[in-house]
Amino acid sequence: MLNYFKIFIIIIIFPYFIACSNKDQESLLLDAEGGNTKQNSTSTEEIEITDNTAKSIQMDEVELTVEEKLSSELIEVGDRIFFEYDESTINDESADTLQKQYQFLIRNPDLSITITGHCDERGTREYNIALGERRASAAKNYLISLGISSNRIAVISYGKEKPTVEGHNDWAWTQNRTAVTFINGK
Amino acid sequence: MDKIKRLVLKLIILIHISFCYIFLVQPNIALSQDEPLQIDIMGGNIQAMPIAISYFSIDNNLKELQLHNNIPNLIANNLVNSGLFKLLNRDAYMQDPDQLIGRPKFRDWRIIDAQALITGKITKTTNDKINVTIELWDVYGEKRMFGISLSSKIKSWRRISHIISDKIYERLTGEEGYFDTRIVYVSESGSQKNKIKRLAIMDQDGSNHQYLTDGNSLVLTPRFSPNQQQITFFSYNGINRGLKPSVYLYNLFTGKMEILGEFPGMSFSPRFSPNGADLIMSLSQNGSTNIHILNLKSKNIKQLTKGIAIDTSPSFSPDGENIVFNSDRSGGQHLYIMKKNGKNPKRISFGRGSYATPVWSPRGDYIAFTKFTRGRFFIGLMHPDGSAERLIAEGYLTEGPTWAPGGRVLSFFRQTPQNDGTMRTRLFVIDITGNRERELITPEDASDPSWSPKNIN
Repeated sequence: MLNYFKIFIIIIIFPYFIACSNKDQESLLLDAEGGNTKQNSTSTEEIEITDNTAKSIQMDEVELTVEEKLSSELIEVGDRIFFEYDESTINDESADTLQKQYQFLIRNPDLSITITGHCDERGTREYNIALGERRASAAKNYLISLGISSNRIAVISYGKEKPTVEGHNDWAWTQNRTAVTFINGK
Repeated sequence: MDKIKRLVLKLIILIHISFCYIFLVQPNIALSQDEPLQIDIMGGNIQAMPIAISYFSIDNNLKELQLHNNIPNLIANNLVNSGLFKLLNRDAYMQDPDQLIGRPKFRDWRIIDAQALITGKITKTTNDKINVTIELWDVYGEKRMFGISLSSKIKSWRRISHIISDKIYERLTGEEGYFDTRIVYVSESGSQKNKIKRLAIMDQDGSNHQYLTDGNSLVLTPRFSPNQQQITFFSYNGINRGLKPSVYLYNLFTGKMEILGEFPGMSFSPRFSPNGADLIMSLSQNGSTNIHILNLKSKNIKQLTKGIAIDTSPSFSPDGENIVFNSDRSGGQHLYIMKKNGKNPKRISFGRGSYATPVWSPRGDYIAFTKFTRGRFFIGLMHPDGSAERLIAEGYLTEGPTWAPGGRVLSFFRQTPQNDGTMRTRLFVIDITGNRERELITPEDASDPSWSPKNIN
C-alpha cells in the first residue's frame, strides 16, 4: 500500500521537476542571451581597439625567408634516409635520395648542411649515440663521394633522444632510424 | 594393557616435546651461544630479520623538534628499505624510551621476537648542536653489540640518521652501508618527441631533492666523481652556438658548469677514474667511436682503442688497472676488458643478445651490464672473467646500472609502456641476489641514475 502511495507521489511530483528544470534551462538561455548582449557591447569596444592596430597587422604580409624556402625545397627533394635495425648501410632508395640532395647542394653552392643521426628506442643510450653518428656519417660520406666538399657537412647524433614519431611498435621504430639533412642557419 | 597404552601415549608426548625443543627452541639457544647475530646478504630468499627500533629518549627542551621520533623513523626506513630487516610494531614494545637507558630487559624484547634492539638518547650540547647516542643490542645473546655517539648541528639530523643506519647495517650484515649517499639522475618531462631533461640530485632515500640544470639543453648520463665534488655528463648545451654535443663537468659546490674541451667529433659516455684524476669517454668521428682517456689537470688526451668499430661505455676497475667497455668489433655488441693503457683487449661476454653499459662494482667482484635479447631488456651481472652470468631485472627497457658503495646494491632505470601509449620511466633499486627490488620515488620520470660514493664526514 505504502509503495503504491510512493509511486503516486512520484508521478504527481515528477512533472514539476521537469517543469522546473525546463524553466531553469529557459532562464539559462535568457541569461546567456543577456550575457551575449553584454558581451556584444564589450566586443565592439575590442573591435575598436583592434581597428587601431589593423594597419600594422595588414602590413605584416607573410613571406618565407630564403632559408625557409630552401628548407621546404629540401624536404620536397627528400631530407631523410632510413636504416635497418642496428645498421648504417645506404640502400638503393637512400642512395637515390642522397643523389637528389647532392643535386640540390650543387644548385645551392653557398649552402652548408648538418646531418643528424637517429635510432629507434631499442638500444642503450650511449651505443645509440655512436650508432646515430655512424648513420649520419654514412650519409655524409656518400655525399662526399659524389663530390660535395666535406667542410659543407656537419654531423650530429641524437641517438634515441629525438624520435621523429612517438610510439613503441615496428612502424614507429622504422620511422625513427634515420639520417636527416638540415640547412645550416646563417 | 592399559598400562602399555599409557606408556605409548607418554612416549609420544615425550617425543613430541623433544621434537619441539630441538626444532623450535634450539635456534634461539644457538643464537645465545656466542654466535654473532648476522644476516648473510648473499642468501637468496632470506627472511627479513625482525628488529625493534625504540623511539629515543630526549632532553625536554628538545622535544618539540620531534627528533626522538624522526631519527629512529629514518633509521628504520633505511633498514627496512634494504629488504633485510622487518621493523616490529612499536605498539608491542613493553619498555618505553626512558626505561631503556642502561641495559634493556631482554626478556621483554624476546617476547615480541626482536632479534636486535636499537635504543638511543638525544641531548643538547650547544644552542644549535645535538649529541645522538645509539646502542645496538643482541636480544637473544643478551649483549650490547656496539654503541656510537655523534655530535652535529640539529639541521644535520638526516645525515646523522643515515650515518647511524650505515653503522647498524654494517654490524648486522658485514657489508658496507650505503645510506649516507646521494643519487644524481636525469629528471624527464614532456612528450616522447620533445623531452625536457634536467639534472637532479637527491639523498638515496629521495629526500633533499634538487634540480641542477634548468632543462633548456638536453643532458644525459651524469656520473659522480670519487670525491663527490663533481659530476660529469653529456650535453647538447651550446649546440645553437655551434658547439658539438660534448662532455661537461658540473661542480656541486660552486654550481658551475664547464665544457671538458673541444674535440674532433662528439665526446660522450664519460666516467671518472677511481682516483678522480682522469676521465674516460668515447669520441665519435666519421662513423667510428673510440675510447679515450683525458687527464683532468693537464687536459692531455690519449686514444685507447682504434678501428672502425663502436667502442663505448667504458668503466674502470676499482683498482684503476683495467677498463671494461662495450664494442661491436665482433659484429654483435659485447663486453671487453682491456688494460688501462688500451692493451690486451679481451672479450668476456659470449651469451646470446647484445651486451652494453658495463659498470665495474666498487668491490671488484662483479660487472653489471644492460642486455638486450628477444625484444626485452635486462640488467645482468657477471664476474670480470665473464663467468656466472645472471640476469637480475627485466623490462620493456631497463638500462644503466649503477653501484651503491659496497657493491651489493644497484640502481637502474626502467621504462614501462602505459595503457595510454605513454611511457613511465622510473629508478629502481635491487640487490645482487636479484631480490628486494623497489622503486625509488622521484617527482617526475627519471633515468640515468648515478650513485655517489659515501659522503665525506
